[in-house]
Amino acid sequence: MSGGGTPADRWPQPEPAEPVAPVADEEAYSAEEEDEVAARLEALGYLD
Amino acid sequence: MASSATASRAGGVVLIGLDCGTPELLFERYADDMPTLSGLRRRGVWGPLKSTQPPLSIPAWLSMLSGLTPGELGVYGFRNRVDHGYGGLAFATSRSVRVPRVWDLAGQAGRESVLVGVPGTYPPSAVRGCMVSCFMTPSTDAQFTFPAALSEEVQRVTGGYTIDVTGFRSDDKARVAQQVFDMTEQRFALARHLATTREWDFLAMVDMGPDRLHHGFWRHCDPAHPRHRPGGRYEHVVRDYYRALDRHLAAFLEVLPDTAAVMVASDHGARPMLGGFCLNEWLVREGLLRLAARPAGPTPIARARVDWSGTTAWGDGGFYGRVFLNVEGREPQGTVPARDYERVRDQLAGKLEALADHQGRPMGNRVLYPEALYPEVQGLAPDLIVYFGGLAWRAVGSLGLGQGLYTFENDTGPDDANHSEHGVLVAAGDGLGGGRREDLSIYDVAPTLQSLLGLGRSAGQRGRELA
Repeated sequence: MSGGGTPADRWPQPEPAEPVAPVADEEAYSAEEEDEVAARLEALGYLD
Repeated sequence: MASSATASRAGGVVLIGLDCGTPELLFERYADDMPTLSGLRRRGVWGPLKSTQPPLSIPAWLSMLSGLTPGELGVYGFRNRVDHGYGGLAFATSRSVRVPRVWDLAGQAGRESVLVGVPGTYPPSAVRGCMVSCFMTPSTDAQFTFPAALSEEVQRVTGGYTIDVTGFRSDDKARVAQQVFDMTEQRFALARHLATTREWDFLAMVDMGPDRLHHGFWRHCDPAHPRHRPGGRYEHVVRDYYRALDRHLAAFLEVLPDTAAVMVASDHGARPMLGGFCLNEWLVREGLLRLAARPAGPTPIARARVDWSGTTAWGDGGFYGRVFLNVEGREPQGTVPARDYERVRDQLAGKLEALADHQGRPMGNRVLYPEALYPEVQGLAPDLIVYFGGLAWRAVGSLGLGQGLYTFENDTGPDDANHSEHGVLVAAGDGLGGGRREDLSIYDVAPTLQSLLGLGRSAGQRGRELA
């Protein structure tokens, strides 16, 4: 595979930090994307 | 075979994940329908694989590939509390994972990985190799590969990449089944393509098809399901699916080097679901959850009008139940004095364990305390974890269903199967043998993969090397 792309595409990344608690990650999804994922998982029975 | 794999070392290490792969099906009922998997079993080590607590895809796959417990990861479900407010839960994503997984360790050692659909990989992160993210991807409009440019190739090879089954609650069961068959075919085709066009040391793919099929069609294949009707149109759909899956497995193995170490694993199994227990309705009846207004129709707890100043506990549903206490000094309007926390929690656990089913028989509920389950409890764990009927019943968190405490057909989730606490493991290759074992744990997977890759254990990792 060749490199390039955005900074997030580049290897290596910094080594993972020590385990810490998950935090709210509002950047992972837009509001619409989160609704889309939630609706799909709700239909599958994962969320209730 | 049309082409052969381009594993960069002698053999390579392959993990084929079957979400919800169930030992009773793969090792017993459909063993003769799956000659390829049975062949792997004959030359390897295999058996039921004890899952995480809870046996749920996101925490289980994260644990399987990190070797740490959900408590250490701070991931107890698809969604987790992010603070002690009442604002609901947030999805666990790849960015929630702050520990290395097998491919991170491989990359640090200069090894290349190919990853397809491994749960807990959305948003895709940088990897030494390439990655196609998991079913938590909102759509292919989002970046779903690393590197981003790989997406075009994925779309071309698959004819349009299917992230997951859609319209699962549709009455058009034939369409749902076809989607599952097609999605599985597509996953294996993509894995074959990447296996034969990339240099790799570690290749992991996960197919969600078995899970979707079990949740949607279990009643049709299992005579033990209370709503099983023999002779129905879908009586053999699960068997036919596993026959097809075994053919895809055979075609995939054919392109791998003969010396590849191959592991087939699942995160949990499945069992018949009897129905749903309305956890928050029960808490209301017990006077432990006070509503400012009764919802007019089915309403998730996060959208219900709760009088928090009069509430002792509330719950979140899904395939298992989570109960949260409303503690003074912890929650904004806490009512349970901190000094009474253990007493109130024990009382609630006792009531939950004593619940009867719709026919007045003991439900057989199991109530678990996070600090007793895990060596560490990171993040914001529920105060109690509840397996209704030992997972024979799902936990319904919504209010206003108008069906009492027990529900058998509802709009909030399919009722065919719940998760069970054992998945499967079949591992074959150099150093992997010995036949059936009864002591296999999901925590054995990561250290075994790492051992096969010539990597050491990472800090705090659970489990044993099977190779």
